[in-house]
Amino acid sequence: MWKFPDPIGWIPPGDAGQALMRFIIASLNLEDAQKTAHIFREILEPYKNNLGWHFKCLMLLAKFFPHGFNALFRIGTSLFFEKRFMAANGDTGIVLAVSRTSRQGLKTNFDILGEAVTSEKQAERYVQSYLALIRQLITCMPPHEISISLKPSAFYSQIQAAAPEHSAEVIAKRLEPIIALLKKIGGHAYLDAEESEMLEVQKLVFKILYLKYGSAVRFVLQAYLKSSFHTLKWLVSINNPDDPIHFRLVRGAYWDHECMRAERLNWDETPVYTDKDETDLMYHTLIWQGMRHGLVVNLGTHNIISIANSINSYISMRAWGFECSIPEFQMLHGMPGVKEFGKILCQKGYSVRIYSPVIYPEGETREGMAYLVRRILENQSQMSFLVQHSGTKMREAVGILQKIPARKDLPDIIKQIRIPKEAA
Amino acid sequence: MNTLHEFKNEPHLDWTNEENRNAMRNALQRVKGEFGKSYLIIIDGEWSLAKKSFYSFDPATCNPRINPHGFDPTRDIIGIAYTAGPNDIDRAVRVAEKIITEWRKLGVEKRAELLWRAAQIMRERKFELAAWLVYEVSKSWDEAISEVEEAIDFIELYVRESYFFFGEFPTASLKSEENILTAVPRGPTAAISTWNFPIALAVEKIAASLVCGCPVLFKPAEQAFVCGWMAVKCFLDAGVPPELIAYLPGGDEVGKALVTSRGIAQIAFTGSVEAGIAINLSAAQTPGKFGIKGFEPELGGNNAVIVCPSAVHDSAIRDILHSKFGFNGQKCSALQRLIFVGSPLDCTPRKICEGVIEAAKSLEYGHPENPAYRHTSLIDNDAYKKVLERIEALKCYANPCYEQMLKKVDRGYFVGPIIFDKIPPHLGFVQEEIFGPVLMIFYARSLEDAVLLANSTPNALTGGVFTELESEIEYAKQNIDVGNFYANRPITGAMVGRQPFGGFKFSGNGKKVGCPERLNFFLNQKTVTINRERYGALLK
Repeated sequence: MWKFPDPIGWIPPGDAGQALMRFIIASLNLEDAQKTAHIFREILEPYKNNLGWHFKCLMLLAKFFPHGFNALFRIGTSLFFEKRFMAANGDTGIVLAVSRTSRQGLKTNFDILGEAVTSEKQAERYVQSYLALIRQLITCMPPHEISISLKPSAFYSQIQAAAPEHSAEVIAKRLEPIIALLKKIGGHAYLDAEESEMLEVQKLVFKILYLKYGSAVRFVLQAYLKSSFHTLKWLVSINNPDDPIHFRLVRGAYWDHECMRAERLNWDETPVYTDKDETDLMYHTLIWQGMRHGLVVNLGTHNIISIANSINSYISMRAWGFECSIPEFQMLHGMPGVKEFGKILCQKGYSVRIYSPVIYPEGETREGMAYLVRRILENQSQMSFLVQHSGTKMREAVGILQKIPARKDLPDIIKQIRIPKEAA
Repeated sequence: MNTLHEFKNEPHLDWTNEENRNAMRNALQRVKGEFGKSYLIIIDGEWSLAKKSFYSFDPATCNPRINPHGFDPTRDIIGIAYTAGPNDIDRAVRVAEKIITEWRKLGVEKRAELLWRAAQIMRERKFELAAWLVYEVSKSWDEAISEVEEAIDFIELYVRESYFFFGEFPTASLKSEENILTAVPRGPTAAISTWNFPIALAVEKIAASLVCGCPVLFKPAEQAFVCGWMAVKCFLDAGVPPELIAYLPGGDEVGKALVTSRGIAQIAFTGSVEAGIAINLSAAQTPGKFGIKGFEPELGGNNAVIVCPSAVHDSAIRDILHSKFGFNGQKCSALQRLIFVGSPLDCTPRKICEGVIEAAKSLEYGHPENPAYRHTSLIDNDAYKKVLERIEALKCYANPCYEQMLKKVDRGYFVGPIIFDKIPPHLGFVQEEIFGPVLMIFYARSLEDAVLLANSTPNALTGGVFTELESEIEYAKQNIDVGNFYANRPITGAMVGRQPFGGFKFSGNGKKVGCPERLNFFLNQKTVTINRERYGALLK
């Protein structure tokens, strides 16, 4: 059956693709159609030989019918990119997103997108937006299933690495109403990981809130950071076994930024692994060690090997007699394979949660631009080593996933291979 | 000598490392314990007192417990200095003249070794030097550490480049004639530094002069002489012969005596336009033993940033804030005039303007010993009064669209951000550098008009543009009259080696610091021609 081709594939690799991203960023703030068309031509003209027929047509349209170009481009951007990578915009969108995912047996985690916070007014607005979002979610899903993601830097415009204690104090205070509400209704919030510069702040905010609200607040750990094992040990040191720490383990989303920043600051070493294998190794080590120490490991990955490995780790840990939980799998809305992988894992009885970036309350796409650009760039090239699947790889991945044991069979498997704990 | 590696900027300190934060806290504690000491005149390695003394104060605090001198009962005295008298200056000049031949003979490698040792000492004292900056000039932790790193960069760059400058370069030669271009030191330097970068710009002048074989007579800024003394100490502790650096604190009288001294070959100066012009005049009228005095000034700026419709809003807001309110606008590279292309009702000007105002409201002011505060006090009462006077004068023409209530936190010289958006662009006050947290917003119909507006002041130091269009970047790059042009980033924070710094018009003489060419100022070029022909025979 003919399938509409993935427009991500239309974006040319390399400089031409980056030029297109540059145009998308610039065009968002332009109101004048003529100017938009002019800028399109100016930015993409040097790459016209590398562009596909779609963009060549757009180039002609921009030259002769700027208004038509403007309308078509905006519709296209909205259909192909915003709708694909942003799960919802405003109340109605949220309700639809919840119903869409729950129909498929999936859970949702909501993250409100926005421009970088530069003022306290914006930070306060974020708090209010999240409170309103939670109230909206209560009306359309079971409260205990409500899950959100919070970026620490969105809650304090004066956040800074040299004063992590102060920054954390301000952020924790600002987040308290959100976490308290979630605690009351049984929901939870993940404290998202950002640039490595903000790691200390993230840790301190988490500590303050975890000690007060337990697992209503959850951590996000980035495996590509060279300090990630140290962070895991720190999590273990503050863990309360009666209400264990949940953390989402991701590979990390700011790899290019971290490398460029290290170069700009003249650091000999980057804070992140530059070799993909090292990141993978650390990712799997963290799964293993997290489970071994009784933390609840949830995997933010689309990597099938990691998913399979985490189930193996769980089986081994239980076989050795360690108490640990079956991981939840968390995937990004709009990324390749999410539907297919989510469906298979759900059928096998595993919990799958879709990380869903939303604009809330209803607003302009510009607010999610940084996120959108990052997703498009990740999808359309090998710029970041963290993207794995496409084409035939996808079919192989689905094949592997189908071989994973169902959740209900795990106790029998564990029973068969139970070995003394000392062997661990 | 070790292999000469390529110049690389000093790695910036990682504040996420707790050890670094603790080291800074400890350094602040240690430095606090040193408050109120005397920093004597240094000539020929000897320390001496003078009759007239003066003080430097912590601009961001008051503390009645340290009040032994009755000078200003409300402030922490950071240090006491003694004004170098005419005899001191004469003696310093004589010592410098005496050592010059010896220091020149030492050769570039030995000089380099000593200066590298000084850079290493600065690395070891990084936190201590930064702590002095925190207290004496009210720099935030990060600004302070960055300044020390910049100082190290200056030494590292200049020392490397000096190997090249002291080489012998063949020019067009004949069979019978060998032609070489080489360089020799000019003579003693009067280094007159400023308070806003009291370590980095002191080290810049001292290091450039010393690697070129020229002794230095250094006058630190009156408000920040302890920082200057600490910088000099690093060179002396590294083993630089004491005859080569004189530390001569004082006010205008010391500056004037140095500038007019017959034993001075060149003057490296950072400061105001008025002082720069006066020095230029005096120096020209008082040639000395080394001939006409060289003069390289780094003066003020009245810098503009142009925002085009395609600018990315959040990053533009962040960078505008940084350019304007970093170190309270007390940098010559700081932004003063923000020019939007478009009308106030257009999307980009409206949103960025709102964003800048909201962001300015959110800035937190306090004593910089607390790392939470990136925004601190102005340097002293004179600066405080001057900024307030300018604000009042501007208010005669327009009400500010945002004004944080002027306040003195803990009786420091704190002035909150003030933004004007309806000031007539050609008003006299707009043409002047305010050197404080005052931002003026203007609108232009086109990029061409915006550039004309940007160029409408007597200064030409830094400037920038925010746009996603290469054609606009190109136009601005070609047409804005500035020494340092930036696109889509803050207009402050030039890095040694990466962004050589300096302006023209009334901002400087078009020359740069932080680049190899800076060393030319301290050198005389010498052409050597050797005839090899004798009676028609070539004799090698």
